[in-house]
Amino acid sequence: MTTHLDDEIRTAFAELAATTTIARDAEFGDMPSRPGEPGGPRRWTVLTAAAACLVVVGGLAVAFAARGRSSERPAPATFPTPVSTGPSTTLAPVTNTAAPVGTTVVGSPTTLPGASSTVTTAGALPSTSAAAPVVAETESTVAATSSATTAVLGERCAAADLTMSLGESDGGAGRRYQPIVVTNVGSRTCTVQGFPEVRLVDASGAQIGEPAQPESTTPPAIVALAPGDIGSILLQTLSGPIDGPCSPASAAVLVLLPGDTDEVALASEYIACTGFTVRAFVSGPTGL
Amino acid sequence: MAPNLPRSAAVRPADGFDAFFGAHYPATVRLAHLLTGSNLSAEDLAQDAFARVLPHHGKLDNPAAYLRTATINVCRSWHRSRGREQDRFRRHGPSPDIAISAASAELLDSIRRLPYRQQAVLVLRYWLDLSEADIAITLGCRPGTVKSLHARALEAIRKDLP
Repeated sequence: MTTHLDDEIRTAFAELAATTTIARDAEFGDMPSRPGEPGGPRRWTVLTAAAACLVVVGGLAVAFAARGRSSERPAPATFPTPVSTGPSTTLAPVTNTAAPVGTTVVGSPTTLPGASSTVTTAGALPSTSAAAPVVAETESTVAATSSATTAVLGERCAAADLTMSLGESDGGAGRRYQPIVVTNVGSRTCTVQGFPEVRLVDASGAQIGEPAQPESTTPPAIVALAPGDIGSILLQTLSGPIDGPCSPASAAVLVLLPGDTDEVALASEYIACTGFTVRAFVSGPTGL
Repeated sequence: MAPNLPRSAAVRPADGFDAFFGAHYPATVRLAHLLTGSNLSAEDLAQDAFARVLPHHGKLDNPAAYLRTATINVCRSWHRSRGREQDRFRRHGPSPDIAISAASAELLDSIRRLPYRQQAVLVLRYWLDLSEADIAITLGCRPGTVKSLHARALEAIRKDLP
């Protein structure tokens, strides 16, 4: 007896799984188990649980703040406060004058409380000397927001700075997840923010179907990639013709990073079905 | 040039356990999330499951299957030890702007009320698309038991839903 209920359960699991978040750069070694009880469940104290709860609530508050802010302002001048969900993302006050050390260092210059804003660059800028990656801007900051923000946060990553490869795909309940792993192989720190454009092409280079839709439940944080750092993009699709037909297998997946002009082609026999979406760029290799 | 320190945390060795971990970690966290309804606990539970695989790594024919069983078992322990008082963590997702439809939310609530083995059968069947035989192996029971757990689960859900 197959039924409706089967499909509903599949859908419910898929929807729940789509909300799973994973700490970036997760590594084996955050060992919850104690040596004496291999694999046993960690017994959280109420205190720990409460603390975890607070962290989540705090994170959400930040996420909401960021989202609210980003909807108020026009695009290029707006850099939402980064959402910190993992150890690699640093919520750095923009007045930080220390030299950046590779992880995500982003801020929201437009929300600085007046005064002279000293802002941290996330990479070497043409105008800075080799030893001093800190740019000091003064009163003109607000007027020059648009260009300043671009300069301040380090240049956007261009395809030439990066290598891309397909990560391990996984999935369930009729959905497939395909991370695309992006490594900064350049010599400078650069940033990526937002949703890449991802489309499929056949062997002749003709586009197949529609590009992946941005998955708007993921807030686009700014991700700074130092040389050697890894970020990723997650593609999702139903894995079969469930709600509609699927595309033919592609010859390549083309990825255009936000703000970039060069598409990167990854040879892949990707089949897009209903719900072909892409999440915002994140740090770490899992796309989550 | 700024002193750009590469982040070693982001770069993993491409072999051995780290590679196994990297390849299966997201799927394991998702599975633990579905088995518990708790995104908060899912990562810890996934780490626990990997910890169970670690001593045997390299000696297993099918480490992924072993990992799956380990995940089922650590999540069962979670249910036993944490039980009712953790109900507030079992809701799907802490964020109201996360997209779960009302119908799915209701269904997930209903599934959460089932005995753990019935929940596990549903997750293995509908999320991982495992066959009855594979579910039996994963749970360490007979295929006939899987069939009856499955039937009872669906029956209970049908009664539960309006």
